[in-house]
Parts: sequence; structure tokens; C-alpha cells
Amino acid sequence: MRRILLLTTLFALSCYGLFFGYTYSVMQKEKEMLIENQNKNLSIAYNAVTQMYRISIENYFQSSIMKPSVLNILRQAKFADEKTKAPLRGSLYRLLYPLYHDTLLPFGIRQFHFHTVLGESFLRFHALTENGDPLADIRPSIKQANINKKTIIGFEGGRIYPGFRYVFPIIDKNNEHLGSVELSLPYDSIERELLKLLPCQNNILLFKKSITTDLVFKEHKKYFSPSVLSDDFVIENSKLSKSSAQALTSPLVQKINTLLLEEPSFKIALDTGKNFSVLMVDSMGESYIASFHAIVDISNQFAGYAITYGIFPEYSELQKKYFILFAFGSVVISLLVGAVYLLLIQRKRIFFEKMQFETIIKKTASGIILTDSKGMITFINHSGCNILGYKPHELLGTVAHARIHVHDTLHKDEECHIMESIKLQRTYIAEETFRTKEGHHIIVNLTSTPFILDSKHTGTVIMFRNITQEKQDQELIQHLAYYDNLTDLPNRKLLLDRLAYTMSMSNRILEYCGLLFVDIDNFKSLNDTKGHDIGDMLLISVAKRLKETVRISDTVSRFGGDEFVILVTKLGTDEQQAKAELKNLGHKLLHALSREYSFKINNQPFIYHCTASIGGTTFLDNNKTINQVLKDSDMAMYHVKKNGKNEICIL
Amino acid sequence: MRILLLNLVFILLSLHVEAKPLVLSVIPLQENTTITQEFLPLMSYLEEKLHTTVTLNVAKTYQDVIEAFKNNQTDLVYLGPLPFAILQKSTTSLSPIVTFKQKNGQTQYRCVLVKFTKDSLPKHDKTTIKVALTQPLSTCGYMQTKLLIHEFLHEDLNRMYYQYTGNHDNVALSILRGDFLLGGMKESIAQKYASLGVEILSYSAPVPGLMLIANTITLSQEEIDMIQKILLDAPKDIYQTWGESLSYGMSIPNLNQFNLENFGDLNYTIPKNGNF
Repeated sequence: MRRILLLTTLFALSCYGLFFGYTYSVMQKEKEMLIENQNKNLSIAYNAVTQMYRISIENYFQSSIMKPSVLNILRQAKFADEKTKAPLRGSLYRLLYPLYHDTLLPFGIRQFHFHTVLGESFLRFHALTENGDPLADIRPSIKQANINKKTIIGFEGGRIYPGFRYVFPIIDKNNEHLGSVELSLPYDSIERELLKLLPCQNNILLFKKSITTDLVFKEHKKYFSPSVLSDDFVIENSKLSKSSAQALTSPLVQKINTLLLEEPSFKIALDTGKNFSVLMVDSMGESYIASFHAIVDISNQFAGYAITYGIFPEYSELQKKYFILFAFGSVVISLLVGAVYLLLIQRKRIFFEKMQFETIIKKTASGIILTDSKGMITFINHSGCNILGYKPHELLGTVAHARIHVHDTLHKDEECHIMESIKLQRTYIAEETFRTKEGHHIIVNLTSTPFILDSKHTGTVIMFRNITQEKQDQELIQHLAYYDNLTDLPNRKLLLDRLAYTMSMSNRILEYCGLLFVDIDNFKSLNDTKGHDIGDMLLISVAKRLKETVRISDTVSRFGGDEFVILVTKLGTDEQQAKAELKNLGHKLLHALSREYSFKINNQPFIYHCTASIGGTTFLDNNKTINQVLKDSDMAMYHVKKNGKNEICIL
Repeated sequence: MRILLLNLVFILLSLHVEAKPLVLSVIPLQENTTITQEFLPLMSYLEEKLHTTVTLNVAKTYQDVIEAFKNNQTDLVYLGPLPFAILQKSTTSLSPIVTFKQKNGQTQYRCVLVKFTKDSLPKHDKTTIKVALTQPLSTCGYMQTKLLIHEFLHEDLNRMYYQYTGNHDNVALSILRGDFLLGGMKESIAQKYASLGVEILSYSAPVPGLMLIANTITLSQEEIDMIQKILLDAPKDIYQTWGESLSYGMSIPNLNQFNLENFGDLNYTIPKNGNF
């Protein structure tokens, strides 16, 4: 039992281990996939928004900025002194103000900025009074646009605000380079579009300090506030940025920020400058996610993160799903473990029972044979083999009936009682004769029981015991009960039985029968002088001579001591004739007995002559009782004894 | 002795961890965003020194600022001399803290008449000219511009077209856009637009500088003194980073400069709206 408990416990632990281990790993993968999807969603949305802006802004540039009137002003300003540039700036402002006010601002563009060919600020629509400052050294996008004359698109720091820059070189039809123009988006604009794609999220832009407060005009440093997440990052001042204001006042963002700072891996991930998402679960079990989309500037340097904050019900659902799965799995495993426990108990019980049966089958003196439905031997035990003289392999696979069963009559299966009882699906108990390997017939006491499964015969078990010796012993006992041990003649009991039978038969056939009492004369003297052995030898010889003398239908019996009684039948219907025949038989007997007897005593021949006194009587029907018949014969024999012996007297 | 006492009060109040939040109302000299950007550093400085939050209220009109002050909805106001003079007429619970210096170091400033340099004035009929004004109660608004036009063009503003644009920036911008031919505005702001071709045609007489005024109802004298001290003691490298109009230093307002006659007849009804 302890072993089973140990095995079951090990099995249970293995099952639980495997199940929970595997399920947990799947859950982790699913969780990572969910987190990854969140980050992908942010990246896709972010890229979609910036791409959307790119297409629109390129369109504005081509259709509304690259106009001859604009190009003409820029051409005049290209080599003009500062005094001349001023009214040109004003003219450009007057010319493009409708575009800026009616189209670009509503579209979300915050910075509309023209640069000279030398990379200086020419006109900032968003900060009109700030111009003329050199930008090439701090604004690679402007430098590249004017040197390489290629459109530069990407995130970049700046003197006033960092932003998502779209910088176009301005080149007229004559391929004259007139400077560049940039249209920049604040994060608020990006966020506004992001919210359309990622509803129910809070957004904020986290700037790398190196591209903001380290770069902007001194008086613009206050445009940024420190980030609670890291000293290396800043956010737009909430007094200037709607998204910052909303995010900072949002309890959700505050809560997630607190949770983020508690995450040990967060700071490391933040420093990588790569996309990542952080899943958090608060003490109430509510799930949150913060996704960080890394933004690189046009120099391919990490510039900051676009962050989305949100509740993460998908993870709560996932947890719920796996909780149910774990619970269901636990129940199933518990049931399985229970079943295994019962199976092991059952197995042990079956094993024990099998061992018991095997021991019984092995140790029993009875032979046991199992056959299949066709009577083929499938098993025979050791005792069975011993009884039949076969080795198991000589019998297995053979048809039992043909091989060992002996019929008294024919050998047809149909007439076999065993086969008959099997067909009738009944147990058959009987004594039958089996044939041993040597061909001897033995008598067995057998019980044949068919196996019935679903009302079909699937096989038979035959248990048998060799009773041949028992039978012989029974016959011997019976013989000893009715025959004289010394002379092998019927004894007094058998004689009386036959006498009773003969008397009843004579009544039916109406023929006389007779009874002779034969007493050996002087037998006591022989016994006393020569010993009992000689006496016994004489009795055996006398019995033999008596038996040889009478008819086969007559019964010679030893009645006791030296007295023999002979029952004689079929003496005819006439009493006198019957008596004469009886007397005649008596003479024949006297004659037979009177012949010389030759014995050896101590290897010395001993010749003996003896006589006998014979008395007899006849009877018919029920005219006498058995006692009367015996008495009459006895009296007749004593009459002879009294009158000189060696004579016959028939009454 | 007085200085020692003030310092003691200052130290004690500085130690006060959580002072009450302050509301600073500013007249709409410029665009909201510009004003916010201008005042952010100053507010941060005050917040840092006072250990409290400072909320900025950029009013839509000068009248709104005056009303907010009178209703004790603001602790501090940033005003020009004309609205101050008007406020002074209706309440005594005001206490000027500091006046902000101009780029030239003077606390006084001038109003100017401007136009876009490429635009030309009509040679004959001046009454067709459109004039951009700031706000009715703006120092460089209706009254100063009326004087400037009279001196420069010998024409009465009332015979011309005028409209209020809301603030000084808008005056400059509306001229640049060509919505107006002339405009009246603060000199320092006009100078910032010189790089875009805004041309100053004439100057007014100097007027007292813009001031930060405390509400003596909502603030105690100690608090007012402390704020004044904080501002006056602000290091140069600090206030230089503040918004352009606040970045040239501060001084205690000289109320003697307030010759109300410089603003004309304050009893004169200033038109609340433009005439076209």
C-alpha cells in the first residue's frame, strides 16, 4: 500500500509538474505575444500616423509652397542683406499666412519654418520674431536638406521645440537652390491621430534630454519638465502640452508610472532605446500596460519614446482563462491520479488473486485444462501433465477431445458429453475416461465448466482427477467383502445372498435347487499335527477341486473353517430326480476330494488323503426358508459325520 | 532694522512648506501661447521660492483682468499703466510690487504707430486707412494711438477705420498680413517685428512700465513683501531666461511717474468696439 501511495504521489507530482509547467510556459508565450502585439500596435499606429502626415505634408509642399510667388521672394532674399530681408519675410508671411492659418495649423502642424541656403532661420511662422539664427550646426536635417538637397523626414530636436520634421529643399525650375522649408508636428498632433487608432489610451512623449533641454534656446528650457520615469528624459511642460497635461493629471498614468518605477527591469529597458512594453499588475489584480515606441532622430540616434498607457484587460482575460484551465486541469489530474490509484490497487489485487490461482493451479493434485471456444488446449497445469504423461508443449494447441478423451462408443464430437454440455453452456460433472500419452486409459472425475462472455462460449475449464486407483481399490474392497480371502470362494455372506436369490428364482422357474454342506473330515487333526499352513493349503486345494467339479452355474462357497457349502441350481422339476442328481454330484465331489494331495513341508514332500462328509437338501419355491435349507443340509452332513464320515446324505 | 525684519519674515515664510496657491492674471498683450511661454520661467521661479503653485490666467480682455482683481479672483496681476490707472480708480486694495524694465534699462516705455514697410500710405484721403488697435483699455490702445495718428497724420482716428485685434502681437501680425495699414502698439513688441518689415512711424511720450500688482485682499502684506523681495533679489542670470518682456530686470514701481494726464482724459469713454 505504501508503495502504491508513493507511486501515485510520484505520478501526481509528475502530472502536475508537466501540466503546470507546460501550461505556464504556453501562458507566458501568450502573454509575451499579447505584450508584443501591444507594442506592435503602437509601432504600426505610430508609423501609420507619421506616414499619413508625410503624404499630406509633401502634398502641401508641392502644391502650396513651390509656387512662383513664394520662390520669387526666396530668390530675392537669397543674397539680400538683413535690412532687405525684413520686408521679404513680411511679404512671405503675408503670402503664406492663409496656408498656415487655414490649412497647416488645423492639420496639426506647429512649426512652419523657412531656412536660407546657409542654414539660417529665415522665417518661423510659429515664432515670427525669432529669425536669423544659425541652425545648420544643431539641426542636421536643415544642413542635410541644404547641402544634399534631399528631403529629410524624421524626429529632431531644435532651438524651440523638438518635433517631427519634414524638411524640404527648395529648388526652383532652373535648379536654383533657394533654401529649405520645414513643417513640423508637435506630439499633440501625433497623439490626436494615434488616439483615433488606439482609443482608450493615454499618450505622452518622452524626450531624451540631450535633444531637448540641452539644445533649445535658454529661454525655452522651461518648455520641458523632468520626467518622473528617468532623469535622462523630459516631457513637454504640461502648461504648454495638452497631452502632457492630460497624462500628468490622469490617475491611470500616475498609477502606471508608479508601477513602472517598481518594475526592476524597467530602467534597463528604458536605457536600451528600443521598443518595449511593460506589463504590470497592481495589488487589486488589475492589469496595465505601458508601451514604449522608440523614436530615432534623423541622425538615427535614439531621441525618445512615444508612450501609451492603458488598462490591459486582455491580460486579465488571459489570467482568467488560464486560471480556469489550471482549475480544470487540476480536477482532471486529480481524477486521473485517483483512477491510477484505484488501478494500482486493482492491479495489486488482481496480481494477488492471480498468484493465488496460480499457486492453487500449480499445487493442486487435480489436472486443469483450459481450452478455447474450439476446444483447443490453451493451458494445462503441472498436475494435468503428470496425470496424462505429457509435457505442456505436447498438448498446447491440440484439440483436447481428440487427444485425451476416450469414448465408450464412437469418437464423434457430437456424442461427447463434455462437448454437449459446453454447447449447452452447462457445467458437466462426471467420470470419464482419458487416454494417457502411453495409451493407457484412466478414469477421471471431471468437472467441465464453460466460460460464457456476453452469452458466447469463449472457452472451457476442465478440472479432472485420476480416480483409476480408487476404482480398483473399491473393487478389491467389494471382492473382499464377498469372497473368502484364502480360497477366493464366495463367502458366507455372498452365499446367503445368492441362496436368497436362487430361492426366489426357483419359485419363478419351478425347478428344484439344492444345497450341499461339505465338511473335511479330520481337518483339525491335520491342522494340529502338520500346522495351519498345510491346513490352508488343503483348504485351497479342496476349494479348487470343488469348483472344478461343479457346473459353472453352481456356487461353491467357504462357509467357515473346513466347511464348504455348494448351491446347486437347475435340478429339474422332480424332487426325487433332483435329490438323485444332487446325490450324484455329492459322489463326484467325494471322488474329487479323495484324490491324493501333494504338499511340501520344509521342502519335503507330503502326501495326504482326505475324505469329506456331505449333507444336502433340495428346495423349490418357498417351501423352505433359508435357515431351514441351511439347517437341513447341516443336519444331513452331521448325520454322515455321526455315521462314519466320507458319505453323502440328502434329506 | 526694517530690512532685518523683512529678511526674518522671508526666511520664516520660506520654511513654510506648503503655501497657498497663487493666481497670476495677465493682460492679453500677446497670443495666449506666447504669454504662457513668456511667464513660465517666472512662475517656476516663484513656485520654487514660495513652495507653492502658481496658476496663470491669461484673460481675454483687459477688462476681464480688472474685474478678476476687483472680485478677488486673482492674487497678482500684470498690467500696463492705463489699466492700472483705471483699476486704481475703482479699488484701493492693490499694491504694485515690481515694474519690469525695458531693454534699455528704463522702466518707462513708449507706444508706437506702425505699418508694414512695403505698404504705402494714401496721399490724400487718410480716412480710408484701417488702423489696428490692441484693446480698449490697453495703454497703447485706442487713446495713445489716437494721439499718435493725430500727431503723424493730422487726422482724427474716429474718422478712420479702426478695429481691436486683441493684443500687440495681433496688431503687428494684422499689419503684416495686410489686414490693416496702420497699428498702435508697444514699442518693444513692435521692434521684435522689425525683422519682418514692421516699420515704426512715430513714438508716444514715455509711459510707466508694466507692473506686477498684488491684491491686498487675498495676500497679506508679509506675502506681498516676500514676493517683492523674491523678484527684486532674482539674480540676473535667472531673470534673463524669463520671457523677453520680463528679462531685463525689475524695480520698485515709482508711482510718481503716473501722470494720468499722459493718458488723456480717463473720463472719456473709450469705444468698446471698432468702427467697421
